[in-house]
Amino acid sequence: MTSWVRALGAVLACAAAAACASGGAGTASLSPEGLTALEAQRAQHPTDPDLNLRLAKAYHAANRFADARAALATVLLQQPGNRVAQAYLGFTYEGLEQFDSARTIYGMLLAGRPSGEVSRLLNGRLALLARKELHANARAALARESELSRTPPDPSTVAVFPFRYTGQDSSLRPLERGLAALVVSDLSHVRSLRLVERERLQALLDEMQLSTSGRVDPATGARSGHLVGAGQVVQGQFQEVPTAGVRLDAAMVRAVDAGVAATGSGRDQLNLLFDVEKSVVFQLLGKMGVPLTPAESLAISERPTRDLQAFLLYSRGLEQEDRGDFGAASASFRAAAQRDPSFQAAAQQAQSSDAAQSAGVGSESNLAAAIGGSGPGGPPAGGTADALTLAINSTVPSGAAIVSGTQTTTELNLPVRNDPVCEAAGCGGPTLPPPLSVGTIIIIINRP
Amino acid sequence: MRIRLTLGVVLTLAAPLWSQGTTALYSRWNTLSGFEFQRYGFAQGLVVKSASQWSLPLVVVAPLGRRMSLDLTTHFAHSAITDSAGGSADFTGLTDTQLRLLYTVGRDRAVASLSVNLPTGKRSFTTTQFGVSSAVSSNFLSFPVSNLGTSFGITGGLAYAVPAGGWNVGLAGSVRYQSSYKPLSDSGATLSYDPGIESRLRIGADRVVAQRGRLLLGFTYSSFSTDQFSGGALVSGTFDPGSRLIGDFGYAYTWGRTTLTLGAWDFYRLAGRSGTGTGAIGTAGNNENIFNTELRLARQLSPRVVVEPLVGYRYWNLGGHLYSVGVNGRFGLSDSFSGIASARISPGSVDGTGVTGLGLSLLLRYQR
Repeated sequence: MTSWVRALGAVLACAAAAACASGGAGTASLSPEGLTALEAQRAQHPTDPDLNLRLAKAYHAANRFADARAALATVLLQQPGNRVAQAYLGFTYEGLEQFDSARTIYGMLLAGRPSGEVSRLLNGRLALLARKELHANARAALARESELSRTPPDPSTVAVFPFRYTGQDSSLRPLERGLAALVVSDLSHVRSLRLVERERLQALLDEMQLSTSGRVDPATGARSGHLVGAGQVVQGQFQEVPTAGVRLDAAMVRAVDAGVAATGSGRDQLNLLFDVEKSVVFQLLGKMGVPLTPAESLAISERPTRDLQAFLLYSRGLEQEDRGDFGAASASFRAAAQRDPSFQAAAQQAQSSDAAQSAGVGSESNLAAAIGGSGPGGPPAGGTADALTLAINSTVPSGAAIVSGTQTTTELNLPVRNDPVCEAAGCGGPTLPPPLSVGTIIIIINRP
Repeated sequence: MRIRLTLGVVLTLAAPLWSQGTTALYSRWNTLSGFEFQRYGFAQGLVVKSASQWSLPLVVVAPLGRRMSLDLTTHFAHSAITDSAGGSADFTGLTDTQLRLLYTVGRDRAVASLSVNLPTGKRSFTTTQFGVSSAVSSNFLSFPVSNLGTSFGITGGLAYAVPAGGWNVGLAGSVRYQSSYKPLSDSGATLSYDPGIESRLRIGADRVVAQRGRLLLGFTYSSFSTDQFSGGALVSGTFDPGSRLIGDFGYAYTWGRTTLTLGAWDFYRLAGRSGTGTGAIGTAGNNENIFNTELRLARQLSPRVVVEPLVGYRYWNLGGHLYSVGVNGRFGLSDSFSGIASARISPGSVDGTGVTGLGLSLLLRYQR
């Protein structure tokens, strides 16, 4: 027994040491010396695809994206179908802020009909990519601000600022984003308006490092409108009021002159928050003279949920997602969807946050491994290679079949010929009669 | 030893293989080791009270150029039995080592193989230890290491695969020669055993079914020429092992992160014939049929973790059956390290007597 324990311990220690030595799952970083050694090896074998792939991973981990791209080009020149290299090329393009190229790579991988899990991860990565792109665009817009400020934005395009909470109950603060998302959703039903995505404006505000008071300043609204190409900006605030009510105020600010085009205001019990919000939206649209069809009015009147607690959880999820905490966001969205299973936006956000969490920064190694090991949807279609491997392993047995099997899901254990002497003696079997009493050979050899 | 046939070998082999321009069937370095344990406890009524085995397998696969690979397989194993009278016997040591060279002929449709069995294991046992060898060689109980050691052997094989409609068809054949050896070290030390030549043929086919399903069918036929043994006039004789037929079936269906697998095989052995030194020939009582089936449900919990509960059933026409419940866990530690941990409990009966099997294993693989 103790020998088993020692053996098992040795194996586990070996595995742990190896995992540590390799940097563990999810990282391909190397020490500068390790990187130099790898570069020296590559100098000896400049076109070796394995070496170049390892080097590309190390360069990626060291944020040397241009070098990573060059190494990956070498790999893909020889192995155009190497999906791990393709995945790393996507990550590398992200690092180079060449988002269109990265999107093309991920789109190509998705077009290969990978398994559901890999699709989920790739979609999560695309969501993260979109987020990175929003921030990069925001930075670019700020850099071009003087130019953009001279360009009149589209008057039918509307951006919605996160609402400013001016009350004392910090548990309500997440509603700042929830209400903005709700207003964006409502206004998006109006065909004559184009809405700036909430996340896009949020990325800009993050880059501007705007103070909370700036969110209700019409000059800031007008400036932001120019930067995101919105001719009109909704800004607002809310707070709790005596007798357990809530008050919501909003204004539509023209980006061209920072003038207030319309205002709306509502007040009611907190549990009627959605009614208040709808009322404010209808007021803004009415004062702006935006005509609404009955269908548009009906769509705006729809509540995403009737459960205020679920909406609060959803709002918290938005806040966490904006912070980049996708794990917490996923949990909040999921909790919201559990409270109200009909709350579709929460369920969708839970899925996308979950995928973004799995595919996020630091998970490149796992993601690449999943992509590299994924078949084209469903079980891998191996062509003749599979049949060939099975055939040779069945007729010329080897432990190599087990090596193949450790990453696969379908195995059959077939018996091969056992000890021939034992077969001849007829002794093999679970009844295990004394060997000396059964079989031809043993009986014979025990004669004096 | 058991062959683990994989329906999804291509996952690790074929995809990189076809895309990388190399035609070697195993194009990457692999090393596998770990720990396997199997034990059967028998209720009163049988001579044997328990049979157990632990083993440390070692498998190394090395690509050699663009067309060849070399693999090595061996085990260090401890096997033991206890009997109902309080006696026990055990054996610990290295098993034989198999070295196999694979060479891909032409583009990628045919593989030639040459395998050598190096007699690194113990091949001469005392009659007491022979009971251990007997226990672990049972096809029904299916120990991880079923053959502790024999003699030098050489196997040549050829496999060919061809697409046929929606099917991928694989054909293979092999011939195995094994030299003679002395299986007993005490009272039968003079006995020399000369195994006959084994020939094996297989036809297998697999295809994708309804986009997400994979079906595999296989049939393997083995025939054996007559074994000869001698050690003097009274211990000379022959043994004709009888042909062996194995049919196997596998179906895997994947949806999302889940794969449901149904696998089955049937092992049928025709009766052999024994001949004594006096010239009398009779039918050997080694014919048997074993049917085994398993249902597994694999769920990918994360990109590198798969959990696979399973249930199984095994039937032996000579009076035995086993039910199995267990779980496999597949995990990746890094890009290079992965592994599989398994646990299984198998209650059943043999000759109307209760038996309980326990199997545990942890295998780790390094791939480069």
